[in-house]
Amino acid sequence: MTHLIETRELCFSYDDEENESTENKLEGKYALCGVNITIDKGEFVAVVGRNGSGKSTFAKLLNLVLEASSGEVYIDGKKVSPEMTDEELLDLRRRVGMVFQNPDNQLVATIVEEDVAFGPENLGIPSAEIRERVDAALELVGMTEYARHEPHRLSGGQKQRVAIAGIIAMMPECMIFDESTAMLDPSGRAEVVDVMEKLVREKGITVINITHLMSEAARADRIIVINEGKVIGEGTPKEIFTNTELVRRAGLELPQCAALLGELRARGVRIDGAGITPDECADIIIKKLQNREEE
Amino acid sequence: MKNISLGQYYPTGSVIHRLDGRVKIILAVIHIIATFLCESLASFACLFVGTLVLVLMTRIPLGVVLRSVRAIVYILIITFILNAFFTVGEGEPLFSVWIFTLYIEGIWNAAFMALRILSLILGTSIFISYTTTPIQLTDSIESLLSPLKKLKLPVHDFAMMMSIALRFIPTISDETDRIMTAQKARGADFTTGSLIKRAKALIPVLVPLFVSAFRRADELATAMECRCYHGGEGRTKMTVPHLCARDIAAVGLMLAFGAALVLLNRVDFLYKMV
Repeated sequence: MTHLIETRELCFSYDDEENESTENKLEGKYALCGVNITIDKGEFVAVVGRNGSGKSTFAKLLNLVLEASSGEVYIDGKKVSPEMTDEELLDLRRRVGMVFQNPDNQLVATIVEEDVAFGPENLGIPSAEIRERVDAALELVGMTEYARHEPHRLSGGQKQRVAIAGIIAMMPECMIFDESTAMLDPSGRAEVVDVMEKLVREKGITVINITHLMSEAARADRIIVINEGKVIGEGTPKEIFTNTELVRRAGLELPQCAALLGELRARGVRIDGAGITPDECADIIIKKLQNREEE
Repeated sequence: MKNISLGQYYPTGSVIHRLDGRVKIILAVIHIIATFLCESLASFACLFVGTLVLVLMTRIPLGVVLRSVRAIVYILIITFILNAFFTVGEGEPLFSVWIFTLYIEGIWNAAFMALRILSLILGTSIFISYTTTPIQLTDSIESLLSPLKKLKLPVHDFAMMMSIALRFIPTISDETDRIMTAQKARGADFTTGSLIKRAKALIPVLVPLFVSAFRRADELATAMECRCYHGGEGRTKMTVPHLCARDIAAVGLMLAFGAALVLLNRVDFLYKMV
């Protein structure tokens, strides 16, 4: 079976010419270097890393916003390259949708539903079908009542949900969220992550959430940790969260309760399993305390 | 600044609001031409009454409509005075002081000119500013200009630019506010000093504003590409405007109105413009 997304030895450098010599290669001037990742259909993957780790670069290589310096990207077994024809490129961008960080800078139209229609209109979908898609997309993100509103009057979370609807209306197979929650307040962030989860669980759309917030990454099925342009770890949230050393090396911060468990473990308390939500952690600690009483 | 509205659109759901945007542009053009064809008192009176009826049909409060007139009050007064004194009549002047000589024809001409300007402003307000949303307006302009695409004119791109500009006016005005506040917090003074000093004080606002506008443009372009934007070719529209009976009726009535005005020019009552 082919993977939905597969990268082989993917490298990218922002200043092409200077990097011709091998010296620079060693100095790590690459924003991304030797990345091998596979992502399957219907997966919910979080890509985490600190600022400048190359995680956003990785996302932009997937739908050819940036061109890889070397290495290959395959989407559904098809190679992504600048030599693609215009139709192939449009098809690629339709299949791999992308939601950006600043909600203001990705809304095009002055009315919410017009904006959602922008993508399908570009694809040349018949009018009646666009209408259906727009209504369905707005309903999915819970913005139906705002269909006739002006985007600039909405809150950050609402704007971002409109942006998501705009991508959903193109019927993508995969959606990449490039730090889409970074500019939002906690409630807006929760709204957006809820929508991501809905997309994966109900629509079967593959979601890649690029973030530096571990609490958000915890909701994914799988976490990929990137640091200095390289993948330094990969696993389920529980696996990653118990690996305190890896998280520290990536320059990230564990959610407080996971950090507490890690600290206890470091002090010599034997803790089995990993907790991500406060409830899970509390359960683990209570169980541990009960065991001790019995001993 | 959150409440800045795009244009002056005033929704009331009247018949004129519901007309097709393209038809409204055509109506506005006919109205402008009709205004310039008026010559006699009878046709001016008819134009005035007709325009008033249209204003009432939009169901927009008169106070709101008058607001757009208020902006041109000075232009009206100056035109009136200039026309009044620079028209040379045939009969005896009403009075003559120094270089100012006033003829009866001058007063008529001045009144007609003022009425014309008033009717121009009201006409475009009724058909365009108050009753057409900006997006409807840009769509209509694109649609009306589409024959020019054959001449390889970038009509679609032009319409796209207009609608993006409209979309970003409130966003950028918010940003201006934010930058001004930030500069004030650093001790900038925008309100005192000479005109030149105040203009200079705006430079630290404009520079960051431009930088951020360009950054926005860059991000927006990427986002648009990611949403498969590739120019106007092969693009469809969610809402395809189609003309209904009332649109055709409206154009017919407006043409009849214009024709009536021209015919009324023949009625020689009191005064006719030369």
